[in-house]
Amino acid sequence: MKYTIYFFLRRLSQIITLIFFCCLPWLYTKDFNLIRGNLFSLDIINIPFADPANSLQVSIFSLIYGGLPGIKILIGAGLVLLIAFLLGRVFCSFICPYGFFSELIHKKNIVDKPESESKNTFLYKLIIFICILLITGFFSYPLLTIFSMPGSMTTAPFQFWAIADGGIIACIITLIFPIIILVFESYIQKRIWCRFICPQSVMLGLFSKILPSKYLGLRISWNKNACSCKKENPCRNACSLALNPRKLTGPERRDCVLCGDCLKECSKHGRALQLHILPKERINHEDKPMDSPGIR
Amino acid sequence: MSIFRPPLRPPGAVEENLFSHLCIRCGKCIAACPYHTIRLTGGFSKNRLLPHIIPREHPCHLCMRCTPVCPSGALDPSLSDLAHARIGKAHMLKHKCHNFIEGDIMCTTCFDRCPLKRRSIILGHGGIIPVITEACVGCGVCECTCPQNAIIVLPENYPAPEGAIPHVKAGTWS
Repeated sequence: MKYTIYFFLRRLSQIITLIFFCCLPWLYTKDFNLIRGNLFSLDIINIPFADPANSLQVSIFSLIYGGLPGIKILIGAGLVLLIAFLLGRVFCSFICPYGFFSELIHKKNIVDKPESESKNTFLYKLIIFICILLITGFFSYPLLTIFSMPGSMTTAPFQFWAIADGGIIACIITLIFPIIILVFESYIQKRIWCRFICPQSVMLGLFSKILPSKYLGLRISWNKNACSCKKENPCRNACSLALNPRKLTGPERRDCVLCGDCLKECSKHGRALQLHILPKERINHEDKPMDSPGIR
Repeated sequence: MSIFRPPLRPPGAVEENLFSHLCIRCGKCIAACPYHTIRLTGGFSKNRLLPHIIPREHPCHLCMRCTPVCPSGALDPSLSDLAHARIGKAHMLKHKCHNFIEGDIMCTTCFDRCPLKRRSIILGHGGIIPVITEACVGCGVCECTCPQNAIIVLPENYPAPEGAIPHVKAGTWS
């Protein structure tokens, strides 16, 4: 029952975020000043939040050219990474508009058998992120803004509302790239962007990972003794990011977006997967994950 | 924005090469501008999502509300003096200005409208013909209001267009 509420709140958050950013340019015309910006840099009642990947790029180039990065960028990125540290990648499942559409499209796909968990997803994302930074540096082309889905998707409404400037065309141009990727994901039935490409998830994932499991922080844990599933893997089938939740420390916190799909599925079986903030003591001390060749 | 003109940035912008790297494309300067002067660049060029100004359509009124909201320092957040806005420089084209072409019309529209009147534009040639000085900040009010489109604002350090009247020294009086 409680995971239904969690799922409902999460979906509500995604929808409200989407509607809010679509209406924000109109709200400016009504002198709304409490929240300003987009998901590149957002001020909520003067508290700055910033896209950590773009903040890193801005900071690197500030330092290269001899200045200090803007203080709001540093604080904004710091706050976002602190949230990732404490709560995991909740941004991806509660806020990110691309994640919202990607998740909806994936739900429409019927997965016959789960793909094997890719061990190198983070490495691919890291390499792509570094290449983008290098290309931006050498060619002065802002590739990272095109690869930043939350930022560019929340900029599109700005362009749309500037109708007198031919803004609808500019809005469509901004949205072409996310739409192409979503269509591709629908075709191949995998959430490739969030798993293999997204630069924001590199930063969020790094800071999610560094919190040890014995400390307070939002995470999903797996109780091996309560797990009633033997050969079948309903939780793994349910995960849209092809993660394996059945590990002693739960799904990899660097990759898990806390969408709750595995929790919902597990609640129909043994309830071995739990979402919690307080640290849970390890039930057992074995190192092998559930589905390693030695244990079936 | 015409592809033949380099983009003009909001007041207090760092130099152009650095601007593209520092601007985080948050759009807060665009939201802060009460005159809807600052626009978001579209398309796929390297200027995409950067703020720009087209003075002929919407000149900057130098209210300086954009500079403090910039989080990354692409616009100098400490800038509040409009005399240091550094948007660009206005150039008066002799072959278009009423005061220089054949006819009976004498015009001081640019001088009358300039927010930094008697500093950025003075009345020279015996106090009758507007002349742009080096103190011009490039707000573009003159370009917007000129009935002959005889003024063009270009970024600082950009070569003056053909037929442009040279700027006089700042601090020159009529």
